[in-house]
Amino acid sequence: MFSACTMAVETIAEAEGPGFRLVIKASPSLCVDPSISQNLWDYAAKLTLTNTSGKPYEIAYNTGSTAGFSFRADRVADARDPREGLEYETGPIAPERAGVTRKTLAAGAEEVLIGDPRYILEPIQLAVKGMRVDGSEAAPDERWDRSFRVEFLADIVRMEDGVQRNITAEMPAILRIVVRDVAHE
Amino acid sequence: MCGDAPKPPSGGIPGNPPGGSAGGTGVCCACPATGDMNSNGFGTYFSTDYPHSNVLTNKGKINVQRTEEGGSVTVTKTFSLTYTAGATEAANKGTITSSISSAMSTWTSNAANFVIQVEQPGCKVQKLTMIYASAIVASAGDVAVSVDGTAAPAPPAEGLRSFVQGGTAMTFYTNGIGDIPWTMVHEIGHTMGLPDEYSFDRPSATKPKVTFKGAALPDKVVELENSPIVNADATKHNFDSDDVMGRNGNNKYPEYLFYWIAIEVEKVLKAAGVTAVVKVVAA
Repeated sequence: MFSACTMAVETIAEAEGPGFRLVIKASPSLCVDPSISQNLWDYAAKLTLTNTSGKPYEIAYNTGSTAGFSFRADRVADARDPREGLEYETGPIAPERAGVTRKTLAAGAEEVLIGDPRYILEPIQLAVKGMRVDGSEAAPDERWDRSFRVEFLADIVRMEDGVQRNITAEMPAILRIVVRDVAHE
Repeated sequence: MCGDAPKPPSGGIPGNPPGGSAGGTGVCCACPATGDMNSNGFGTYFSTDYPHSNVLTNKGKINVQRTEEGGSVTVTKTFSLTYTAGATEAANKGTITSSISSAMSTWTSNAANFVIQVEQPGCKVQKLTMIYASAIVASAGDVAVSVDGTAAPAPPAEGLRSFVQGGTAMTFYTNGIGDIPWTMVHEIGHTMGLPDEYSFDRPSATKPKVTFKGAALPDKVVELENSPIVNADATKHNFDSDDVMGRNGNNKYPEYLFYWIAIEVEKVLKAAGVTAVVKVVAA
């Protein structure tokens, strides 16, 4: 399974609303080798906001330590049974690492939000340990090949003609995690 | 003659002094008391009116040693280590061990500003110093530490930060962000059942509150402050406190962060048959 696992960034979720389009790009699969230190961050989700309103508007969003306020994985659950989920937690925040980006987004222009990529850590940890979100053991047939339902949340400040109308959307996606069975190779 | 001749008085005090922890006929003011801790901090030590993990189990051992007017209370936690994502015992055990030891020392030194006061009827008031101790064990520690060698994300994304789940499971990132010692002190606080004193991105400007149970003292209600951390959305609000369980890097250790020790001392003394008023006071 692990030898056939590949990672490539593609669109995993989309949403549209008045004057905006949101696209989340990430690798739908992560190939995890617990015996080495991997850098999987390039495969974590990024959000692209496109101004489809036909005229410019102001946007503001949180960056750095507070990026997750504007774009985050709000909840992670087992795809087989998404009733029980892990809620997103920020951890203590250092003021010097928290920032705000404010800019005018021209008509048709795009803005890419990095958000908080650390959402991949919890499902990776569960997959490596062979545990489900509810703390029970993963079924034998999914021990090394797991699927999680990740609920992404976007909440970006949009100011238009002096009125605040946030761009908000909930966008679920499936994240597959394939773990290398190091002990049995 | 019937029977033996009467014996002279021994000169001793009638009755035996308590031979053990559970009493006897007299008052034992200096009997030691030891026991296991296994308390959920949420509910036993604190409550919040903001969303917070409702399981923070404080596991470990407590040892109360008393003299006529002094003594100590030592809380000891064991840590068992496993390694993943490229972390190894050879490369990382030293770092994690010293981080834990250093964090315990930090708690001990800051606890020196306060003492646990024991008021047992029939005894003098005793002031116990607080000592935090740790040991690394091969398996089944009070805290299971997963030492994780995951590479850190590149800025501007937030770095890796070690964390504790449920009070008894710690993930320690070997490539964590710069202030690892502070983070460890904060996370060790969670293993002792202490709460996070922050709440971010809230829809209301009302300050959230955390209530620390005071043992023999009145409960302490701590109102979180408006955080200097700016939110892009002016209709959302960030709150935190200026102590070590609040904003990153804060190094205040107010007395209520030690109330839980008074609660555990009271409990272990009670299990030993001693009823006493126990509270945290200034040293």
